[in-house]
Amino acid sequence: MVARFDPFLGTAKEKVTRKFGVTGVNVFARKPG
Amino acid sequence: MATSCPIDFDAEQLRREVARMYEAVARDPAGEFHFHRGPGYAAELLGYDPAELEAIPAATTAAFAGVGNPIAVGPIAEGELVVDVGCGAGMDLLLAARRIGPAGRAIGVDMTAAMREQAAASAARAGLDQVEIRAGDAQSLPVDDGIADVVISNGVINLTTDKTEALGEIHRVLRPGGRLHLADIVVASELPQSVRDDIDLWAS
Repeated sequence: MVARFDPFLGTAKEKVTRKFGVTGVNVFARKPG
Repeated sequence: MATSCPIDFDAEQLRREVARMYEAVARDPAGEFHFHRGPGYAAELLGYDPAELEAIPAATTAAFAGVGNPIAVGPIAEGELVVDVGCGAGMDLLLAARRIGPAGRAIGVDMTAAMREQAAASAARAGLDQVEIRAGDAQSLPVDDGIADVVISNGVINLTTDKTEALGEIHRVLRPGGRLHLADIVVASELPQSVRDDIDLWAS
């Protein structure tokens, strides 16, 4: 996990997403092999 | 991270609602929605390079509704095969296609016809012949096993009713050593059943 965002900042869903701790994330993963 | 989310409604109904929502975004990106769209949002909140976005057809950047920046997660090299799960109007797909160049392949998969049409039109307008658009969804990718160097996805896995299945599909199409650049939303707490069963919250 390399970064977190608040993609709902300033939207009508901001309140409910804050309430449940919703955040945007960027994730890197590699398939073994 | 939990990848299951038990629901008490018809999964096919959710699929139809998601398709309806994103058909509307594709047809009228400037319409009334309770989530951000567009290149300004992408640059200011998510860290996309405004100069790179300028090189993408405006109809595609206008309909962007991602929640993060899978392009920024790591390098994508010339000649690689990239699969975009839920490519929408194609902003991330076209940015990836510019990185891989004509020797690579960029396969975009989306369940929404209007989004697929926009992505294909923008790829053609941008002269990105390495882009291919396919109909399908995250829980059943129309992509062969083990061919992808990179899978990207932006704000799509959260819309699926079975995250384990969707992540399993990504694992299936990646080659050994392949990379996942995933942008999505997560919750820090267990959601009440009333929220899980709210189809409007799911579809957004």
